[in-house]
Amino acid sequence: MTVTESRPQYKFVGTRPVRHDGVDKVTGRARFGADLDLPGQLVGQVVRSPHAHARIISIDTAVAEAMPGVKAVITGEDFPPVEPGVGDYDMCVNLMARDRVLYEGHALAAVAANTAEQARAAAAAVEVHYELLPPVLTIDEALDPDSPVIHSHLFTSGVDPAPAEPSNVSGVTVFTRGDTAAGFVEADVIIERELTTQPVHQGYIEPHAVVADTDPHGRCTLWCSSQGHFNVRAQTAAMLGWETARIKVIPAEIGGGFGGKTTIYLEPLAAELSARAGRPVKMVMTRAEVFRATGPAPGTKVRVKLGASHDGTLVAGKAWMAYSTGAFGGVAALLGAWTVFESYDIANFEVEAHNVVLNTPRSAAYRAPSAPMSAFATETVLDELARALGIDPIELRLRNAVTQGALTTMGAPFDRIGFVECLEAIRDHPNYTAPLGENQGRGVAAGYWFNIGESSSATVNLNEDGTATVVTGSPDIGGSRASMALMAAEELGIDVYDITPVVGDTEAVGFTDITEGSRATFATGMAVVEACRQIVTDLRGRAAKMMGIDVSEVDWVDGRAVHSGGEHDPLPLAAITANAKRTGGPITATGSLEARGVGPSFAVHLCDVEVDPDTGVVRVVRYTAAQDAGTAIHPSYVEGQIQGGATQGIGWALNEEYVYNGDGVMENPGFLDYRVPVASDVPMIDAVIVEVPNPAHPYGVRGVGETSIVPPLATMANAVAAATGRRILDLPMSPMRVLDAIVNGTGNGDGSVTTAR
Amino acid sequence: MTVKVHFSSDLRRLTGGLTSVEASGATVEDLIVGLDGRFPGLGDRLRTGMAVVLNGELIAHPGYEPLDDGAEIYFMHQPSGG
Repeated sequence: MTVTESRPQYKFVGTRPVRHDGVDKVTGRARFGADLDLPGQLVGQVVRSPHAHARIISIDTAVAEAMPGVKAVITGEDFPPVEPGVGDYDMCVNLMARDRVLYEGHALAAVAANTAEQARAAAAAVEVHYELLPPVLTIDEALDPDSPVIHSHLFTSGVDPAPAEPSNVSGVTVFTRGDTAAGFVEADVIIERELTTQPVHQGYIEPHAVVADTDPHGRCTLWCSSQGHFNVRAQTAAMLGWETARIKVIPAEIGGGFGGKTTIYLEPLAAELSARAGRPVKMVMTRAEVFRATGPAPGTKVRVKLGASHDGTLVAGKAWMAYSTGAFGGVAALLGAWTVFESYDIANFEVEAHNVVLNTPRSAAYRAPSAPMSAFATETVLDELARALGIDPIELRLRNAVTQGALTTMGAPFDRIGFVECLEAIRDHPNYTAPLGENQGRGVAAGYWFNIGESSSATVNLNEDGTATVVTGSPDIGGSRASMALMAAEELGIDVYDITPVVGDTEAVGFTDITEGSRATFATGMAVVEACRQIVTDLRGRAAKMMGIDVSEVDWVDGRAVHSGGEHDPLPLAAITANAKRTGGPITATGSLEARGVGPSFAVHLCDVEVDPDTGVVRVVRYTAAQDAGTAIHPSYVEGQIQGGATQGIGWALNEEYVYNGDGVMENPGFLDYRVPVASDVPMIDAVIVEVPNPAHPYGVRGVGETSIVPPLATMANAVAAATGRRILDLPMSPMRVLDAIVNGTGNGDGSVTTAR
Repeated sequence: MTVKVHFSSDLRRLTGGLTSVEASGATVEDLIVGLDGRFPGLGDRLRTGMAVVLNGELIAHPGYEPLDDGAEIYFMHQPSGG
């Protein structure tokens, strides 16, 4: 670990206790989304479109409804009407098609039956008549003015004048700074490249699953895994047109989300089926359904042009970007435009980014959404610039890295950030100068991601024996129970194992926003700290009563109330809780807040690869990842986040992609044909935690969960270019594509300069 | 309260090309009402998915945030994530 800025030495924060939920999770006791069964439970099955684009002429459910064991059948007509482009239209239509199916796998009906076999048979018996429509499957097709327009209500937002005709571009984002044309005139070297990436899935191990139990009074309880159960409640209520209070969501453990469980797919269907059948309904997706109907991250086409002076100063940048958002619009382009030049202090730039609609599944957030693709472009071009200028790639980045006071793309200045420290950590790491073998190459790249605040709640209850329960509304996705317990232990001064961290359901804890934007440890941690500080104030008051002194004379030190005058013996927390009834009753407090003071994070990755010249297979030899975590509350879980994100990025770079046939049918909806990295594919990733504390958080926390997936695409591409002399600009760098580059000279040669003045 | 207002560059199309202006308001919402009077249509945009940076702090939902005289406020998109 590299500690780059002084911070207080903590007793608990920064230690590595075994997580409270660890034993249950490694012994199989933990209950995930599919682990719950209720008496009388039915099995739900979704009917999905086999076509990428078709008009629904009719849906006949009569045969299915009459089949043995079938208790309920629903279609889009059983949900409240929606108006194109208004309110939650996109979500509602994505969950259940209405007049058209918009991608292969699109849900159009659902059944509930006594057994899974009966449910599958009934689903197969739902008769659908389609009028096939031509699908639009690629960004280039979607942008072709002669292609079909998927949504007649979709008019491009963000452009002037407002378009008179609908198109497949749902929105355009344009950011500018300075005089870009003049900046390029000043440049000594200019490089421009066009790069593409394919849609990739979040690849969580646990498929989507839910049990819904709607009682005769219309109250529904949902058990499911998600990244935010309050969000599940809100989206389910919106889809069904129900009051929020009718729905209670109990969070199951979550087997991975990575952004893909920030939205819902099954919950309103299960709730409605349960309401109609009068029995609980369980629905669990197959892996094929997960691929065909959830996620993925967008595919992209990006052109980036950078100009630099001989000394390496970036003087101008230009980017044109297109993100495929699937069957509906989204915010992918905004996030791409925001991040493409965010890491560098460039005086002049223009960015134009497009959300492009296709007949593919609606894209969903995936860990630092849109940033891996934008960084792939910028960091690839930077690598080529470094070669053209004869400047070490890290030195080039150091000369242009944003620091405190530099302007963000949005125009506001950065607060204290740790990008330079991350670059220096990699530059100074022994792996940066380790000898390379035959057919090996080294790549380096950087990445940036936000941290968001939003709303969080936490309740802290002290027990009679001096132990404590900390209840929060954030699902434990990456070790947040342990992080909450560590911060509470630090505040209260009691052992971390005397604290029981609990994830409360929607009726047991205050509203808490979804876990995204690397916010749980940051924002929900703030709520925990706030509640603990109220508790300490309360404890001091009660101790003052017990000592017969004024509260101003009581300090809280290491879990004990200490009389500043020294005349009374210190009172340990357990002595105060044991007397709670005699000093005012239960000791409890709630922290609830809209968190501010977010701390963005930077990462710099370094990779050595070995490329087999006969097969094109790329082997990762060494991988080192440095990231600014602010203060690492639990360093092991920060390292885990860094290693996990890097591994997912390696898969994105080397193998992962959705493969569609000409009709828009996915041909690889399973882990045999959609190749994610497994443990044997990656070496032990050397995670370097850089600590530049966030001044706005009580413990200096920054978001750490997402940034690590941003640099790997470019890191790997730069390493492969170094190993082969061929720069591959289209991901994934699968063996046949790499071999093609080696044998046939495809790719972009040896990184030659586009324009040199 | 008079404050200096900065807009993210994509909002220029709604502000006649201006990236910063001086404006007044007791709260961010007051400020938005005044800005909408000067730049019709801007108010709805600033109330939808926009955050502010005020005194160095990003505030995702700033509506009733009070403003100090002489403050600098940056309107920017709300960040999100996965």
